[in-house]
Amino acid sequence: MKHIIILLLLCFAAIGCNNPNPFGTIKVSGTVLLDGNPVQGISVNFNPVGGDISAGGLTDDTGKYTLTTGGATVGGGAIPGEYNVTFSKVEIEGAELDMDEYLKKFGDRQPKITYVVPQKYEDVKTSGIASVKVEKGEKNIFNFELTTK
Amino acid sequence: MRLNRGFTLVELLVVIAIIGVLIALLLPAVQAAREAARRMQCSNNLKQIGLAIHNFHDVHNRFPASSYDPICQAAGLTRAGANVVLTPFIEQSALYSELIQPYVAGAAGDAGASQPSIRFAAQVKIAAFLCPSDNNVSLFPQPQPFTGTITTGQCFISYRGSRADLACSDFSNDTNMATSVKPNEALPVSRSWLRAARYSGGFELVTDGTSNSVAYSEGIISDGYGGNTGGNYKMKIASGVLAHYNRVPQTCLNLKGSGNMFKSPTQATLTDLTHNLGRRAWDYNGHQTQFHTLLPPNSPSCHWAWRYVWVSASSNHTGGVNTSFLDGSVHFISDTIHTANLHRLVTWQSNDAPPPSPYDSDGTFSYGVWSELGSINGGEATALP
Repeated sequence: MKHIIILLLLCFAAIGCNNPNPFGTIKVSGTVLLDGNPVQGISVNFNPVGGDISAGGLTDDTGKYTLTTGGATVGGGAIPGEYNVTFSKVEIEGAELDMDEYLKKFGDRQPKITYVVPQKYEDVKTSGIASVKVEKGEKNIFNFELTTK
Repeated sequence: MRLNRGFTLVELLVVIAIIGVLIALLLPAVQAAREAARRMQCSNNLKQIGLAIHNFHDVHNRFPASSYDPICQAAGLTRAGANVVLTPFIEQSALYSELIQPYVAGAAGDAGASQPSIRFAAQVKIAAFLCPSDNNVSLFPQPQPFTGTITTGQCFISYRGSRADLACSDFSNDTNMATSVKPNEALPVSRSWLRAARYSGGFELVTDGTSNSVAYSEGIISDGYGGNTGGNYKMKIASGVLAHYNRVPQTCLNLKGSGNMFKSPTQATLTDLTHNLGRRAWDYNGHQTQFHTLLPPNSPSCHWAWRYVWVSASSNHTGGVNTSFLDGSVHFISDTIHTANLHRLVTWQSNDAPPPSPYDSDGTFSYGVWSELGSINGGEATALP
């Protein structure tokens, strides 16, 4: 009887075996503050320096983000390496309209874009933010202070 | 006396437990078999579409246009493209003749609006266009009189044509474009086999090889629900992200939360009324009949003022999407297909400059294997993984 139970347990254990982390990522998180305040929905983009696969996250209402890599959310985090970080959040005029309403209202006109996070933070060259290193065995918590000035 | 012994409680419990375990093991297998059958039907439909493209090419010596196909334009059917002109090649000739006959321009400005039979034809359910794995197929509306046009008629389609890896939609190649083409907006179409009317061509364009170039893939049909409160990202297209060919695609991917839900619902205005994702087979815009091989399959889709869209392929199959290639083959593409650095910016040059070639400062233009499979002329030797 005992053998059967052990055998059954082994079977169930085997069923659970697949690769939950195909990218070999490790957890990365942190906080983004804009002028000292948390802003929900800032896109935090980790751009690998010389690397191949990017990672990203979105801030919640406390400004906290956690990274995920690729299309699969399983595993989360980022692949160890050096990253340039950029930030983006915009508000687009007419974003609530469906296409037909939009066509009626705007025609060929481009809608106005309001940069909630200044546009310079969207580009590695102008952001003025030092690159970060995601390393195994570290806490990998990266906090960023952005300013609108 | 021995005959009356019966079973002990322990014996009964053991038997029940064994039966329970067997059922628990078998039931998922039965469900998986049902889903496997549905998936097979989906991929067969894609095969038919793939063959239809070939047959279309045999007859017309070019690919169908994504919108404003010359045949449709000649019939006064504005906006319509590939899905309409492919119908005779999936044994829907009768429907095609209803859709494409020379119309009397209707009140709404689009051809056919005043003709009841045409309006009805625009809402016919085509089995080869619907993937049974998508539950939203059941939302197909009863044909009814509507005040719109053929292109605004609701005909569901679970399949979308590949616009390769650059955010653009035919909205930006609209009728206005016929007279005033903005060169920088015309460029992105040139990486995909599916092009707006002005740029159509045939197999001679596919220099990467037909077996390495994506033709059609799957897309979940919208559940018709609009509003700003999040929901399943496969059924919606998020606004509030600058989906554009010189912006960061990662910003759209970042909206992806767990369990197919948008991560931060209030941050994206999720416009999704009845005309959206998969609900207008005869219409022209990127999110209605096309997708991009940019974000990995089953990722969120985003649009910027409808002009530019990043529409991801999506399905309810476990782990990926069926995809048809220009050689007529159908393959299953995994969600984990290599999509490389989705942070990369591709900056086009000034409006009047010819397309930069090679495209990027490091001499390549690629968002990984998925994007290379999507492009027909990128010069990449990428084959299926």
